[in-house]
Amino acid sequence: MTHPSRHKRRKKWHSLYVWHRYIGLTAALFVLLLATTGLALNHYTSLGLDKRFVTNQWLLDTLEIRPPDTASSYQHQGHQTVLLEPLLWLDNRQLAGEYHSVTGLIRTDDMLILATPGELQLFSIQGELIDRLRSQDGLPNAIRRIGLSDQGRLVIETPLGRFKADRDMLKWQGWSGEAAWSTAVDIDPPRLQQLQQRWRNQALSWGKIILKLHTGRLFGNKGVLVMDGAAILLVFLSISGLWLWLRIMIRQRKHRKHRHHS
Amino acid sequence: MKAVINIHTSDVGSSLLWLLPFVILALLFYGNVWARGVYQEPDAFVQEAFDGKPPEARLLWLTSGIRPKAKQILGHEPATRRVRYWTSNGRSVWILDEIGKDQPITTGFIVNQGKLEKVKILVFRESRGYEVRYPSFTDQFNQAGLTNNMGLDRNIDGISGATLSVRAVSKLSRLALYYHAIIQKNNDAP
Repeated sequence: MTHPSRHKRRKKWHSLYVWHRYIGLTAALFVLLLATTGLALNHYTSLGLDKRFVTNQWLLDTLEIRPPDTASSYQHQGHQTVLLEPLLWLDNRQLAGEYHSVTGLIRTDDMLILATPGELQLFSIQGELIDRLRSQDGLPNAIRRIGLSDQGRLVIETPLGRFKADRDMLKWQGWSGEAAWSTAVDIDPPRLQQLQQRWRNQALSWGKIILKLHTGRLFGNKGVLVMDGAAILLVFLSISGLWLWLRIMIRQRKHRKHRHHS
Repeated sequence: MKAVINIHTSDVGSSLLWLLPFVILALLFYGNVWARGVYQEPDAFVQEAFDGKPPEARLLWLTSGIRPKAKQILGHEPATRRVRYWTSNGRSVWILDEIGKDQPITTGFIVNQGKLEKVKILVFRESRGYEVRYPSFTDQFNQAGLTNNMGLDRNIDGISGATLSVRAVSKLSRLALYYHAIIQKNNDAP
């Protein structure tokens, strides 16, 4: 007859085995999902997941992918820049990177100058990037607006005052004159709609979808809770697995020792 | 009942083996976290190169005569149409960017009489390949010059796991030497 405490202990261990098995079965689905999406995310760039976008309107509607209602726009001498956060267009060309503010656009004789608070981008009239100027290049920080002085020199306004650039825009000196400032303009509704559609067509990459699937966010807050639950199951499995393994190992050692002594 | 578990030292070693994956993961994570960063502000690099008294910045316009060779070195069109540099007494300083895998690596170069005097990684934004920032790698470029084929006149030992970063820095070093040769040629022109 088995000792009652040993019987109780064995029952406890058996119940841990059963829990381990069933939780393992449930977690297997999540492990598959996490492993496949994780693998895809690991090779995000090489699979081109950041460059392939979801254009299916139903999916975009379902995931509530909507462009901003309003845009910031500046115009000068037939050139226009439009910011629909975080995308920025200069004429018909979308600029690389993400932008959250634009502070002006100026056309000089041979250049287009686009300003954001922390940077000036210089383009040829044909739209080729000539240079990017930042604070490390001596550009005063936090540009509020840009304009052209009477002499046709670029001027900028910052919280520290107004500055005038030299011909190459490498040196800046304090300045107190008036300028023809670049001012924000309204964007035509058809143009806005066209850009909003372009925004929508590149708002959601397949990489983002996979990431949302990986985190559960694809199904909103409930999805996150489900993935949190899956993570807790995995933690339980790891601990129960280790515990069971340790128990077996200790028992085997004991057995070996007994056999050795006998 | 008192359970006595008698485990030999070798048993302790083997029972701790399960910790190994966690240790490896922790080490990998540690390496990646510290890989990215600004090692020296570009402005500070220029200041240091000229003992705190840098000359005024100048511009090299990448004209149609220069762009094809720059493209040949980089393997793609240069990102901008002009490059800033600082020069005095046959020495020039260049701050150049090139993408390793996904992000630009900002590197500072001092070229003296057509030879690289110093190469330093200033800003590293990639998650891998950070080993290129170590002097053991960058010192290999010291006194390297440019061959007629736009290559370096010496072999640079690579770093396993940092192939793309090594390639990016090597390309930039050739570009800095090429740009230096152009400004020297322009200075020598009557």
